[in-house]
Amino acid sequence: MISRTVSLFICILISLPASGQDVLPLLMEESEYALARLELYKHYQHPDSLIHPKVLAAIAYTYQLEDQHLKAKTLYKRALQGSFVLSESYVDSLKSNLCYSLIELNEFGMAYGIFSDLENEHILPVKKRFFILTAERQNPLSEAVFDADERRDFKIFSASLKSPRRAAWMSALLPGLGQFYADHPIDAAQAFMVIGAGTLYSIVAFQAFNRDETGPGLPVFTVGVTALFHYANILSGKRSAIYRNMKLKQDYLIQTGLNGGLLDLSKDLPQQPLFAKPESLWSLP
Amino acid sequence: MANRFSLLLAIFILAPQTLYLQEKTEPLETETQAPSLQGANQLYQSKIGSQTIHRCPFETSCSSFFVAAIEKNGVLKGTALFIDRYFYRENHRIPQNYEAVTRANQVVYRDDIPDSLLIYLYTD
Repeated sequence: MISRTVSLFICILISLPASGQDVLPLLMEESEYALARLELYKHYQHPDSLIHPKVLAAIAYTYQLEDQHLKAKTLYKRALQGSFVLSESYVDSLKSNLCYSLIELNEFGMAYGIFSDLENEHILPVKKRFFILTAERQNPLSEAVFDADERRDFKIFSASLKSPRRAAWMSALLPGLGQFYADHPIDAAQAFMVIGAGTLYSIVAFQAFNRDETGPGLPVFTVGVTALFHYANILSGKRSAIYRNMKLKQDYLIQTGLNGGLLDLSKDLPQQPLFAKPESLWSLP
Repeated sequence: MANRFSLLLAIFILAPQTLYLQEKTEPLETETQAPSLQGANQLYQSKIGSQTIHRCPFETSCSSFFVAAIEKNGVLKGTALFIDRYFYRENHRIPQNYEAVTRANQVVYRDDIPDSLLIYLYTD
């Protein structure tokens, strides 16, 4: 692994600027995204000029492939600011990829604002992903996004999601009940046993206090500790339901083949005039 | 197990002291709000945690989770969140319940609920 990285790095160092056409696809293929970024920056960063938006998009894409969605989001936004030099379909692709990163960052509102106007084949998986990951919101499903069968499956899936609020109330009524409802039976058993033991110990401490065998400190302490554990149990019920939902959504995304779906922007690069000498880039409109 | 109970005992002894200190003093910076708890946690991380076999199955270790939970939610809720994770949710069913990720050639499980997710999905 190290020797391959070193050899690629040497290959880049000794390469002429025009050879970027050969090196970059190789680096992308080898998942050497940091080196690919270096190559992109080496050729196209200029201290007095803006980077061509397509290069920025390619750099953003490498970050996206490494799950660094915050950096990807920033660069995609900058690329879109210079989108007047890009074709309309490429801008739509950029927006689709930006929405993908926004969804990964849980910035659902912003993603919805961007993709709601888009109507193309690239945005479709991103939209589906959005509706699955926000199933609790019960957003109305568009017929253009889901067909009849998909809508039926989605309805079954969304009915299987757990309500965190209900789980918290159930845990408050009986320790562990909320966790059990959220399909975390071992968590439920642990919570029930810990709080049950705390309650029994509190009762014993109170009985000892009533018989004047101990001062008020022990019952107060045991009740305080048990109350803290019960509070943790209520939070646990709520969190268990949220985790259950997250897991169900991930499983459903895998089942529907939507776990991924990034557009490969790098394939578009070698055909474009990006790998010419930098001077030609700065003269673009 | 003994390690778990000694840590719990330290929390029970130090938590009331921390609450007392908070009442008596002016509002302080986050780092100094719970000096005893944070000190105990730092002591654990530097002296005990580093000496034991790394066994925490979650992406963020329990001691780091404890510090982050207290900084974000205060002593009471932060301690409750730590109890939830350490006593209720850490068991052999973790692989079925949480998303697996690879960190430093080790499979760990993601245990964080982003605020933006909570706000968008569960706030009216």
